[in-house]
Amino acid sequence: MSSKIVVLMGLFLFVTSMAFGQMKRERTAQIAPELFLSGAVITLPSVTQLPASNMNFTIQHAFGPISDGVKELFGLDASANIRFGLDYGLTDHVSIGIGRSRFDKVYDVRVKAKVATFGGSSPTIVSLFGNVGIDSQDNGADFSDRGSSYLSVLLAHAINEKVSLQVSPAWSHFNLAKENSVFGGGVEKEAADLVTIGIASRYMITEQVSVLAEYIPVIGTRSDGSENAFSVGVDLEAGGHVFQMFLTSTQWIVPQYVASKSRNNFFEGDLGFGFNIHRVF
Amino acid sequence: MKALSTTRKAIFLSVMGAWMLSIPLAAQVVATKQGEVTFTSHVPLHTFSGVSQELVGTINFADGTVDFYVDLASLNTGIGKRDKDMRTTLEVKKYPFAEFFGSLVKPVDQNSLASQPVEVKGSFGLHGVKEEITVRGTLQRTGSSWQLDASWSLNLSDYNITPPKLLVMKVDERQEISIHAILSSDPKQPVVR
Repeated sequence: MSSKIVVLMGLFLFVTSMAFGQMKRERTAQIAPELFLSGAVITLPSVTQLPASNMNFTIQHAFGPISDGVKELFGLDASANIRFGLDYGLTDHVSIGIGRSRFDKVYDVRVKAKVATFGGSSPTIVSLFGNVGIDSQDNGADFSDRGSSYLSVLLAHAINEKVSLQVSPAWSHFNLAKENSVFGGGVEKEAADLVTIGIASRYMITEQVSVLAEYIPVIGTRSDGSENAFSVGVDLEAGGHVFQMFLTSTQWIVPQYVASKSRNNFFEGDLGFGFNIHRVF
Repeated sequence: MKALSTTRKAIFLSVMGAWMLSIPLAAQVVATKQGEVTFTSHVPLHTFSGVSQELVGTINFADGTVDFYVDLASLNTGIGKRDKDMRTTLEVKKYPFAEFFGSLVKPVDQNSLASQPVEVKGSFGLHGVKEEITVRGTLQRTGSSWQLDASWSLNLSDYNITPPKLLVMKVDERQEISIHAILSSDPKQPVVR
């Protein structure tokens, strides 16, 4: 067989195999990166949106000061604030939720809406978050004085595959600015309106493990004796759950209360242990 | 005009030959206009399914070749966190596709409008592992389109996949797979129901 015929046959087989071979595999779906694993960074609402028809049950715990020492089991014997919450995704962009916290027996109703997403693999997400709380303590206060509200714009950006950053300017309002008598004399006034700029970040160690930090400074008028809340924690994701364990300077959980009533300074060692569990159904 | 060299003639004839051969054969190749794949998983007291509408495939009636694939990232179980767990279990970033490449065991009667049982044998790839499988289903011509339905089951361990756990309950190793596809020689035509 001459070399020319071999060349001819080789070319024929090559061209026909190109015409009738296996299809080229092409990706048809994009996996959107998760900027935060759950709807809360720690106390701060995150841009993470519950998908349509999904339900999220949350248990949030914040214990007493670690500085109480071993006799109080580092704050675990102290009175803990606990919040139970249930959220539901109305659409992929809007969710609603209810919750109840132990401190001040606050019932709260919340709504989160994703307004815009920019970018592909490194997205920027803009969301709106609103929360209305009702203090249900049996203290004879008028109903109109029991209300509080929180409105925030959540701006988050995935800097890269591992690092996400969120900035959350927010306005908190209390219908009644309380005046509390201080032990030993004097009065401390709470602010009726507060402005905060929440800053949060997540660093992904693995697909299932991340570290978190959030800082919520009050800008301008603040409640007497209050401090800016600071928290650091770890996210663990497993089997549809997100477990968060953290150290925090606030025992408050509902965001307007975090802005107004946090009284500890993280950097002076006034911090306590806490954990959140989020379960999506 | 200067005469072509022998090598150039060979190239020209090869390309022309393949092109001419492809004309009658192309009419016998049908591709998905729409394709859906569903998997069903069992855990104790509970069953859930994942669906993708992104099944892509072709059947070549001339040489009997059957070629299908789906991007596993497109599977949706209805719960975002479960989807993420599934993608992690299947290592979708590393192994993005589930795919089948094989051939019809018997030729299909292209003139019949009746539902025809079909059997294909070939290689099914998932999670970086390829297994020889046989799948049975039905194929029915409806005008210029063909409707394909098939189902089979697989063992996750055959594909080096560790079944995930939901709390303490382990997902059954056996997964039921079904596909439904409408194929046409002109996939851009709208689907006639």
